[in-house]
Amino acid sequence: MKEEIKQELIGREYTTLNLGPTHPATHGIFQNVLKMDGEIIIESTPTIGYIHRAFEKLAERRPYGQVTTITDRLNYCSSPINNMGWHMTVEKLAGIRLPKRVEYLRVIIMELARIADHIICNSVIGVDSGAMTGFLYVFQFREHIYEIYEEICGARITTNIGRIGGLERDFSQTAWLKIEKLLKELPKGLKEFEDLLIRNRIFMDRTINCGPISAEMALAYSFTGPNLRAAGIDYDVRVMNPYSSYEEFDFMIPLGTNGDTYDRFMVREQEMKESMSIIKQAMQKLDKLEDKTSFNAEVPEFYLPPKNEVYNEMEALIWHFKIIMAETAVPKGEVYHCVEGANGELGYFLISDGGRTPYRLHIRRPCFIYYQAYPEMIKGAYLSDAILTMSSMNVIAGELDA
Amino acid sequence: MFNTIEPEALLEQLTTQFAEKILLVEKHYDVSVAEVSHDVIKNVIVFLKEQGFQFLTSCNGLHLPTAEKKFGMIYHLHDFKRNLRIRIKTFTQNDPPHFPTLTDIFLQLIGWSARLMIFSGFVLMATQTFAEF
Repeated sequence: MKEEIKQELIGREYTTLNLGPTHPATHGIFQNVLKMDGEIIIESTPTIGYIHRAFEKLAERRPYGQVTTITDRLNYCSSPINNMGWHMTVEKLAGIRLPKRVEYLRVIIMELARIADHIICNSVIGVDSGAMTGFLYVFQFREHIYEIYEEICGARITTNIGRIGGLERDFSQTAWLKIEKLLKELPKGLKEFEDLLIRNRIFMDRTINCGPISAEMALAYSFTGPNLRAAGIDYDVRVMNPYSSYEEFDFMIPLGTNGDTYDRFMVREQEMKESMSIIKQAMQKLDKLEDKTSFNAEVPEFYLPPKNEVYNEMEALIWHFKIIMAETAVPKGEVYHCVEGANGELGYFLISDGGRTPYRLHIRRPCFIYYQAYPEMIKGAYLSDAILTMSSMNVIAGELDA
Repeated sequence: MFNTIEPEALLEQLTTQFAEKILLVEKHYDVSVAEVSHDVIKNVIVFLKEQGFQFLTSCNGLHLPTAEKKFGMIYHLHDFKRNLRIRIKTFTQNDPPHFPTLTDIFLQLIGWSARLMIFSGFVLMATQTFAEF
């Protein structure tokens, strides 16, 4: 098909179209210079760097605990997963082991973040294919999730949830009630959303065979996450390299076959249901645990003591000071830790020289990797399909640029 | 289900194949690590790909200003079938640092992955210059 188009268009005059950097349909600040023949894309040249903030370099000047706020701003649709991934990296380096209860609480937060991320991505696919209503149906659930974040950490988008060694506070009763409410209402909301789209003729025509990528190509481009699974490869970090006790959970890895926009949409839909199941399982496991109170490991050298102790006990005051001034010793070494981010494998490669800040940090950002394949995926496609392809890959500028 | 080959066996295989060109093998936490001589890095990556490490997790440059060999490249490879991860490191004292391009082996490295390396001062041999992209 693409070859036919190419042959047919030889000798024609082309137009240049700037898709971005501030085009509303790119959902972020990045540019594509498109060579167009009418509505058909002949060639695409992507440009990145518009919101590059040098996170990896910034991290070299920040104590370990303060790097978390940087990670918020990677894929800001699912900041908690980024936060947890970073904490786990440092915990791996420092050899910190967490109580089971903390791990289950983290699983709940990460799966809530996955649902919030997938809600945004899938509802925006609907919007970009011309269906606004579904977006309005499900977006309220993202609000519910943000309210849960607020209860847990006091913030909504740039969450900064958790600390190295655990969580900063336990879930409140209100947080539990809100989680239960979400688990009760979200399936109904998702069904309404799916009824609008998944067998909708227009939606299917727009998304099936739109921006497809084969399993071989997806692997060659190092795709991970829903975008790889949509192409039929069942790679999920939660299963392959379990962390936070994911190996104790029973869940499916949804797969697609064509690797197109429709499959990516369907994989994310199914993943939201699996995430709900994981949250329920985590709640059951928490009920069965004897430990009903711990929300951090006993690591005074990393975990800030409670304020009342800081004001009244000398030892707590010293730890507080040492942690804030980054005077606690972190072992020398290098460590790679990855988590299954909402968008794919989010990895932190950290090198420590034993100093107060990371010596070097490299972040494997799935969005950056997806974007390398974008020109290939939209070659020979219609402009309107390129928009949908972009939405369905869920390229988030914050993570793309870092 | 996974891990039919021990990481130690894999490193041994690598050492047998490339002998003294493998400068160091060790295990950092859960990942096998090999430091490889600069001149065979591409051969090592090709060899590992043939052994099943089809997936390039990440590739990044490294600047160590106080070290003798100031510049390095780090490759994280993953064998999905056996669920093995390996980290390959190579260093050079040349300034500017020259490394062979792997864009012909892993498509991930084309486009901005390579451009960012070039932008940071790395010379990727047998690839285009920054201006030619």
